[in-house]
Amino acid sequence: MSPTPDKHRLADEELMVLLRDGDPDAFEAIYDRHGGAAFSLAYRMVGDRNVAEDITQEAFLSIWRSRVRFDRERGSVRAWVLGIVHHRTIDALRKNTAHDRRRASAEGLEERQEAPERERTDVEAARREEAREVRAALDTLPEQQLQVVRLAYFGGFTHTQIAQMLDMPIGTVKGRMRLGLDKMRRALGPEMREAL
Amino acid sequence: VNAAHEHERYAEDVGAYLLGALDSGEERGFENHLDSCPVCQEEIDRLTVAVAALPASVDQFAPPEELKASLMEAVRAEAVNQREQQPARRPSRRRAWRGTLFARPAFAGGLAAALLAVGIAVGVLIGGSGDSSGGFSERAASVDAGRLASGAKATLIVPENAGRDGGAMLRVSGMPLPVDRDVYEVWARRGDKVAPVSLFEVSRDGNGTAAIPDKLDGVDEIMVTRERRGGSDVPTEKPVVAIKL
Repeated sequence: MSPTPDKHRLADEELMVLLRDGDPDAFEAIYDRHGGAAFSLAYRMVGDRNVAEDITQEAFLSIWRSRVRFDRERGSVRAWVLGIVHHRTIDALRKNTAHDRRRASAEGLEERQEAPERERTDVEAARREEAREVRAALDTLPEQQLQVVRLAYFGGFTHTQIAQMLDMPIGTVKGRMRLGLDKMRRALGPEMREAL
Repeated sequence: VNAAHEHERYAEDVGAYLLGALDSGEERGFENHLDSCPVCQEEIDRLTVAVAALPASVDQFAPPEELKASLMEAVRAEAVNQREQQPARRPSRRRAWRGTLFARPAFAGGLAAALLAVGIAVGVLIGGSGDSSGGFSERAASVDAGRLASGAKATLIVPENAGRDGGAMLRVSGMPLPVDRDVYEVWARRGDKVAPVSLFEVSRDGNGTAAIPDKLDGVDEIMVTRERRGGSDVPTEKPVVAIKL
């Protein structure tokens, strides 16, 4: 059973009002809207389709169970959903020490970008445009900043691990993370900043 | 001077925190600092947009249909269970309990008045003899002080009309911030089945409340564990708080 077409027309924040009261159709509409981004983020981080599926399922179950905790003041529904997925994926990565060892190089991250067959839809077209803008913003970062941002966010490494990996002081790693995010924020257009 | 010194200590952690690059202990320390540092709060607000954009840079793939099917099966089953457990609940009262216990600021008017009445009654009860009176009864919990703190306490507060409306509240004090975890999670055990109930956090002074919005009929035990952000679907540790009913 799919949610009614009306539910799909509602804004995320309106769906969250219904979801807070335990409406599974509202949850399904949220999943339909953000499940792909959630799965893609988990897949990008773990590089394994089955693990990414497990993480996505666990993350959305926790979203259902902690639905009353969404706070619009702290960001969009999309950011909340993807934040939970990111957190869950980092947990999975850090629990798996063998996997960690395999991932212990920056080059390994690039290999994980290989992917299964892509979905070709209008939604994906819009996402590709969004991706183009974010990638362009990332491209404005000096390589050293981009490296630590990627290792942290997509690799799930702690700043201590990154400092060891790159043989540099922890303070330098933290500083580059902060500078990188600041530069990226300034490179994003106002529309993108508003949407997020 | 202390505040400035503390800020200096944590200021460089903002980027690492947003990227998830602090370990759990560092993350908790930073969040404690964040509670009282408007400069870091402002910096977090300013840079969050950059982190929120990062997932969009990833190639997009459709998750398998089976994933949605199994997810929705679980969610619809839980929704049915929750509805069955609260058949006669009055909507306004349900909202009042939820609003209070999850500390959302939006309650107002009649709801706020109802919450105030509940708060006063509970306060009188806890400060007094501890017997059932004023429309509430309380049960002291068994607390694993060795894994929490010697002064940790938890009390289950049940309205006398719980049989009709359902609902109870777990009030805790002296509880430490969960080490290596993010939240406390409340569970209801019926026989050998354990179901998640709600999540709660404690303030820096160790106080907190948790909602138990459903009826306690058939519940053998209310338990609390420490779990990762968002909670777990099954307890991942032995309960740190337990109340046998």
